[in-house]
Amino acid sequence: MKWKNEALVGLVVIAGILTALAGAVWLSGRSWSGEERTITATFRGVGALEVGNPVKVRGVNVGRVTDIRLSERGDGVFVNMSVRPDIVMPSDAGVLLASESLFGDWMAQIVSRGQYPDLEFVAAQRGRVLPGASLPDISELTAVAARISSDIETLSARIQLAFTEETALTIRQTLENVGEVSDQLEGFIGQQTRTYDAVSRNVLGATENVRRTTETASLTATDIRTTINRGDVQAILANARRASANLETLSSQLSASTGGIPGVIARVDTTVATFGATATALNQTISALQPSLAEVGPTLVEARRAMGTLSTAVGAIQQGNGTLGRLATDPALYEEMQRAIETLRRLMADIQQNPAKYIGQVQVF
Amino acid sequence: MLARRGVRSYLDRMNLSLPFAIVGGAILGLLSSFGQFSRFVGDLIRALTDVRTWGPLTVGQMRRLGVDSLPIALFLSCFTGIVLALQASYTFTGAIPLYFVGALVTKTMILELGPVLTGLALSGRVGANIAAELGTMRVSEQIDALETMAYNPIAYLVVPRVLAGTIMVPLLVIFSNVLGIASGWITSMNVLDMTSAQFVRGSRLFYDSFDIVYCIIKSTSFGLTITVLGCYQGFNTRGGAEGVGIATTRAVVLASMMILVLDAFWALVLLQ
Amino acid sequence: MSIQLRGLHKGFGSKKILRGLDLDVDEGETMSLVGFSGAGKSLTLKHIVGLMKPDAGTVHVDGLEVPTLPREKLFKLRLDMGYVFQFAALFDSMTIGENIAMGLRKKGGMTQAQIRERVEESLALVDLAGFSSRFPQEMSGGQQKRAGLARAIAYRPKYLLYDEPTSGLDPVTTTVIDRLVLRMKKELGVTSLVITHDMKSAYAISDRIGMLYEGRLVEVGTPQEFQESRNPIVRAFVEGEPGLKHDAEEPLPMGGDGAAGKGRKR
Repeated sequence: MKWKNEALVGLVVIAGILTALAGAVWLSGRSWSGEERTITATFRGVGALEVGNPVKVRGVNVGRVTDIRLSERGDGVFVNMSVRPDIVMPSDAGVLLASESLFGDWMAQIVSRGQYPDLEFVAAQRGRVLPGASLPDISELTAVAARISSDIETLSARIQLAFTEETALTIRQTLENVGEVSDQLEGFIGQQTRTYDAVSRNVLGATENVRRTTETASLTATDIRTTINRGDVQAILANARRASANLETLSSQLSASTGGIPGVIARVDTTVATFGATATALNQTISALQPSLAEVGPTLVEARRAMGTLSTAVGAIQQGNGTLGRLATDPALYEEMQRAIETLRRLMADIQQNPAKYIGQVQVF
Repeated sequence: MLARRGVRSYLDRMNLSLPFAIVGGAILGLLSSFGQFSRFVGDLIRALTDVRTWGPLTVGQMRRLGVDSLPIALFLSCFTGIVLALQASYTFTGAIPLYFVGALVTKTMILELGPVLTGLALSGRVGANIAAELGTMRVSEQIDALETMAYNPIAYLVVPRVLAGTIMVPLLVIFSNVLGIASGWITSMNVLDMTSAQFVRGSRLFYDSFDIVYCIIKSTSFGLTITVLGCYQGFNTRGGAEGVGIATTRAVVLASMMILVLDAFWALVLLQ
Repeated sequence: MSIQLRGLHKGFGSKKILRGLDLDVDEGETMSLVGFSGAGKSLTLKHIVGLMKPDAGTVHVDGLEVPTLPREKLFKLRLDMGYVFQFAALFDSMTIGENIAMGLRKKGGMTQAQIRERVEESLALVDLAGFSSRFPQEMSGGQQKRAGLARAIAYRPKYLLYDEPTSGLDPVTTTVIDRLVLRMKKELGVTSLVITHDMKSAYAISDRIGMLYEGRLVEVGTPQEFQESRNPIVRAFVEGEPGLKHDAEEPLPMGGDGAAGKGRKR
């Protein structure tokens, strides 16, 4: 009787203590087995990575970041990760840091460097330290948009001064540049997309269209070189200027908005709304107007602008840690964005399917 | 009653010292009851040295006050978990991700509802039990009998109960937390159309290892409060069955109040 | 080796119960203390055993001053004193056997078997042989009372303090108890102080009888002297004459006398 009492109490006490410990371990998401393997990687910068962020292999959680410290000379960062001992590392393993979710949480991915030829991995100076790279923040991509805009502006100024065969060549080169940049953009966004959800997929779709449009545009530029029609050139010039001005406003808006996080969401909202309206208007205009070469410029620019806006939106979300809550509580904003993307898509599809409608006139030259 | 009688007689005589007498009386009463309580706590601490008296009795009290309270604690937390999950999903309408339900259930259960609800339930079950038992022993002179047989009644009766409560309440709270979270989890999966992974993700989202420490500190203080107040009221019972009733009520009411006060106290001290 | 009270004063608030009580119980003597309800008889016993501290005056037992005795010495002294409570005050969470063994265990120096033997022996003394595994609530009031007595005598104290050992008992049991009191005195040389209302019992067992009135001892004497006393208070008490003013029967704090014990839950 007495013994039974003691046994029962002992059982409850031990079970309670074990439950508390097990619960603490489980809730913190640590691994059960004590066996861990520590790997180290080196980076130039670690973005928003923090101790405790997950380590993934092909999207599977295999461990967590245990330590982040600057290198002795201060020219790099070492990151220690504690991972399951049984994971198989690729032969050319590298660690890629990227954002994990729209919350702004980052993660470390163990990847095969061969899969990311366009990324520069920091070479490890010591043995057993993995080379690492971090993906740029999407907000960085908006800077590219600003560069494009200034390029186009310079171009249009030059065209106005002297429109010669030489300048036509420059136009072509510039457009090729644009194509290149958008390819680059697509590459970046493509990498980001692996970690983002539906929003990013739409961005990717849009970028793809931008790229095609750019190709078409460069074809057009070739035609411009062969045939110079003074009257049409004026129209090209006017449109190009307007477009670049638009783009510049947009980029300045973007840089303004990324400056102050509290304002970001509101700014993104209006930007997206403006864009939605513009795109719709554009779509209508394009179908209503006599298709001409003139439309190619604005279309291209608008498309790029759309992409830039979306990038900013995503970038802003990512920058504003936890602003997702605000974004999410405003379904109107999200719908607006979706609508804008949809309009853009339709426009792009139209351009793709009936290039003649937009480009046909050019062939006349 | 005394005051009212005093008021009438004093008003008749227009005695101006009355307000001072009332204030002074209240302060003296407060001080004397505080003094009595401090002496009780002092005796309790001194009695801790008498291990041979309380040692063998503590396990029995742990069984009676702790293990036997497990059903009520678990019953309570089971339903709390269900309600928390449902209310969280009701609150998080629209675009807030559903996995926040997991975060809310886990966090609320560990930080607040687990300790406080268990504490309140136990102040009824354990506090009342102790006060009634010791009160009956007091009025039937069993405590005096203990003393005449050279037992220190504090070491024999109070210390085992206080220790048992202080040790067992945190354990009960841990079990409550586990069951509360589990019932919230099951509710989320079956009623709210969440996946298990979503709930777990939410649970871990805001978890901090200090949460459990905080929970244990808090519930230990609750266990101590409930048992000390129950013992104190029981020990100072006077006058028959009615006295036992008064002591029991007082023990429960004071313990419940102190639990809420301590709850706020710990939040201020530890969560700031 | 005796009990000696000098100028004992005790009151609760404005109510003074004991007002300068002097009392001596000599070694080996059985003294009875009689008095009206609420006169402070039980209170006197509680002072002797150290459950109460006097407002003024001294209490000496065995030459030791009880109120100022350090805890360990007081506990040691208490093991020389057996206290028979008015309502038995048996621990109702234990069997009778465990109740009786409590004091024996505390006193120490006995094996389990010896304790068991002594328990049975003590129960046999009060005609309760075979009751050791019963719980108090399974017994009648009289049986409980006898069990309380068995508990007090089990560890062979030098002093026995009886708080109304025969009240509420049938005449036959009363006689059994009376004989037991006498036997304890004869066989063990116990010094006893008995509080009682029952004059017949007091005459039977006492070497001396004392009458407590208004906080003082108003008459002390052998049963013979007591019966022949001319003191009006004693006469009124012995003959049961109403009309004498005696202290109101308000219950004392600390459950001192009758009222508290009556409310006990069973």
